Amino acid sequence: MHTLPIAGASLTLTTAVGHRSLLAASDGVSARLDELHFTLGEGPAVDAVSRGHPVLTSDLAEPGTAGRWPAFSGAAIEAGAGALFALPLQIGAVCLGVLVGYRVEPGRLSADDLAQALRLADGAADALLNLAVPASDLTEPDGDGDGATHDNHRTYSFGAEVHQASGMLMVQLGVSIEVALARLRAYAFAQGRPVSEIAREVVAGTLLLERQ
Amino acid sequence: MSDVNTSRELRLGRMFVRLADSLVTGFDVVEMLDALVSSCVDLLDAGAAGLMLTDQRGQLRVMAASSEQTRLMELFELQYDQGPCVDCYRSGQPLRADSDAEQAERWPLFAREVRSRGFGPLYALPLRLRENTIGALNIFQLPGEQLPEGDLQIAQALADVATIAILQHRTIHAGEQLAEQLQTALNSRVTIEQAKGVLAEFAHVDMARAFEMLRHYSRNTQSRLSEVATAIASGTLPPETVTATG
Repeated sequence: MHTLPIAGASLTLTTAVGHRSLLAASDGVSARLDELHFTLGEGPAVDAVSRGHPVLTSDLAEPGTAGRWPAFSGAAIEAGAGALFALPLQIGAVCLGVLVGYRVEPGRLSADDLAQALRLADGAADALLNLAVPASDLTEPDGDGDGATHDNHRTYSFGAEVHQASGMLMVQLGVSIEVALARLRAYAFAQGRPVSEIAREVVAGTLLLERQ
Repeated sequence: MSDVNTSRELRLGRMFVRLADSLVTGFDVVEMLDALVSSCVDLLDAGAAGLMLTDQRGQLRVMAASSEQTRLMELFELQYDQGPCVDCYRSGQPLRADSDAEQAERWPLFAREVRSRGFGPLYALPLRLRENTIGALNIFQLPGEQLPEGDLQIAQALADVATIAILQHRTIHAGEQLAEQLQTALNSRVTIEQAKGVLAEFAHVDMARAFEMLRHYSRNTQSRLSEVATAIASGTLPPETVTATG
């Protein structure tokens, strides 16, 4: 297990535009950084969410950084952060939240660090998707449940048909894209089958999920 | 010079102009990569072409394929974790495997898929800028049809311009913008698939037709494909607006 060279991290939900809530913070500095993003309305996490890509700021004191977020960068340094890395929990058009890690001293993430951080963000996105469906949908199927390995439910590794099926379910069920994806995953989980298999059936029109 | 060659030069010129244009005007990565693989097939008389990008998590992702058949080939390559794209990405060097025997020795499982789908010589060219290799372009030829060296250089040049277009910052420092650009590109691919699903279900058409509708609408409104896709998948652009004009 690769440990990230960061001092602390936080996870914030962004369920709708302008609506956000801090889900977890490992320490006071992380909580303070989250609050600063919220009150100032700017910073790496705000950009990560609006642009849908990671915003890696290896040195908050760098002039370019200060110019980008004039209020945030100084306040973040004062709060005790030297570097800040914001990764959106993004699945296509959906942003579920943002994972933010900070370092006391400026410094970049290595390629291995970045890979690990991206995998953590993927894991967090998976966990958040499970919140979008009723717990009953996530009950383990009868039998050994071997049909659905953990990997089959990793959102990031999904192929094109899973995303196509989500889009179709959005129309069929009259729900948002994130709920559509959550329903698809939950159904596969309950059936003990890989999500990709269920998705192919949805795309082929041989499987219809019921409206809730 | 024959008409065929003249028109090929014209098309090649247009492709480079289009790629170069994307450097200055802002562009849609998915659309550009789609154009790149179809240009490879068209300009080089290649059997098929596919392109993968790194997801920066230790995996490659299929970003573009000239046909559904090719997309499957690329997926096999990822599933078996062997094949020209995988090796080319890891080494950062171009590679070719002309003969069946050579392919079978290097990639036993993948070579079988190549054979059963009627392809012959394989080529892979890196998408590389200095020390960063971000993916690879695969070219599949029909049996007995080797690509001339000159054509490989054209393909590498296309791959190079595409790489620069993806990593559109003047100074890529230490993977920060690289991560932004690559993750954006990977995510655009996902968004487009979501939007295709919405349109397909809404208009009762297949995914290929849904993609045409998406492309048609974005061209008509002069917007980026990925922006239109985002609007559809996030529910801010009603599907009927898009399907009505498609």
